[in-house]
Amino acid sequence: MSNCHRIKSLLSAYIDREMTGEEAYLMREHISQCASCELEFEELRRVKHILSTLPSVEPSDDLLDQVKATVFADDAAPSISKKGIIVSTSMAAAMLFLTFALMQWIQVRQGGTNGLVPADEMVATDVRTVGDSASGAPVYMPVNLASAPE
Amino acid sequence: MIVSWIKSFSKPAEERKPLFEKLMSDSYRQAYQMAYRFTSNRVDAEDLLQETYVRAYRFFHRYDETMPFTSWLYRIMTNIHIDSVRKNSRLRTVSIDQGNPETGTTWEIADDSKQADHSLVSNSLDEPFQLALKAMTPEFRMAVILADIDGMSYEEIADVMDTSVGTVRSRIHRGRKQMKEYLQASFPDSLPEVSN
Repeated sequence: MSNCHRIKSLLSAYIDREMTGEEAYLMREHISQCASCELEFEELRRVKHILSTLPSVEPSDDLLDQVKATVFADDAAPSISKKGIIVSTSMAAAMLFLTFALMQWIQVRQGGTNGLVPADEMVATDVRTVGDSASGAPVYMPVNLASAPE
Repeated sequence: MIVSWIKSFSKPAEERKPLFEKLMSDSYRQAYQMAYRFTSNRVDAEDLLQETYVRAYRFFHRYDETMPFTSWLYRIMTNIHIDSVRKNSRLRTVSIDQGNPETGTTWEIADDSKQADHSLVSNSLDEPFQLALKAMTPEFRMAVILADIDGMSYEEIADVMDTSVGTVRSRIHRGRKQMKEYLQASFPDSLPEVSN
């Protein structure tokens, strides 16, 4: 029967009652008159019956506890994702840098106090070198550039 | 300000943990059934179940509480399982079929898949059917399991598998046909008569 190919492709939907009443009626009519389609219908119905009556498989007694321990493992630590850590650390570093730069800018605007000297006032004598009495190696001593003698 | 940024990237809010824990306790047996039928063995089923809940908790803020939790969970599970099957399939293709292209080495490996399958489910009374499920195309297998073992409608399965009802209808039909043909070839006496 030319209609058989289409009927067979709809057999599972018919078994699952996933079609309209009219479609189901036409299917039922055809199956009752076609041995080939009836055979396939019965076989597919058996497959569904087998699967729907398979015994349930019990999980091990401690499976739920194991899964819970894994799922909630990260909750023991501060609940911040890796991405969150990276972003927040970057933001904090950027804010620190901006704060430091702003403080430096304010100090320069206020007249170069706290040892800050304009670059054109620096001279070679601003670094003093003295000898180390024990090894004879030179030792570089920090000096206040603003008050360095000529 | 920084605190609000940190909170925006934080995991599910603490108050959602008790709700997730309850949903997990209510659903894990049913979810384990699915995982076992998808994977055909206990070890892989436990891994799949665990990965599913880990991912579900991570994205729990996206869960719509008006929808069934199991449907949402199965959607995650099917995605993980399909990814895993594809990944394993690619690994097999590269390592066995191609060999090492630099050295020209090829490998000949005995086909012991049948033996391995048997050893995984040899103690089970439903061995022929579990083997038949395992032999099915993964997408067909999942659609059939959701329909016949979990009793979902085609529309629900379409939602879980993120596809159309027409595709679900086709997958279920082709899956059952694959199972029927496998059983007829490998276990001819395993298809009992069903009373009307």
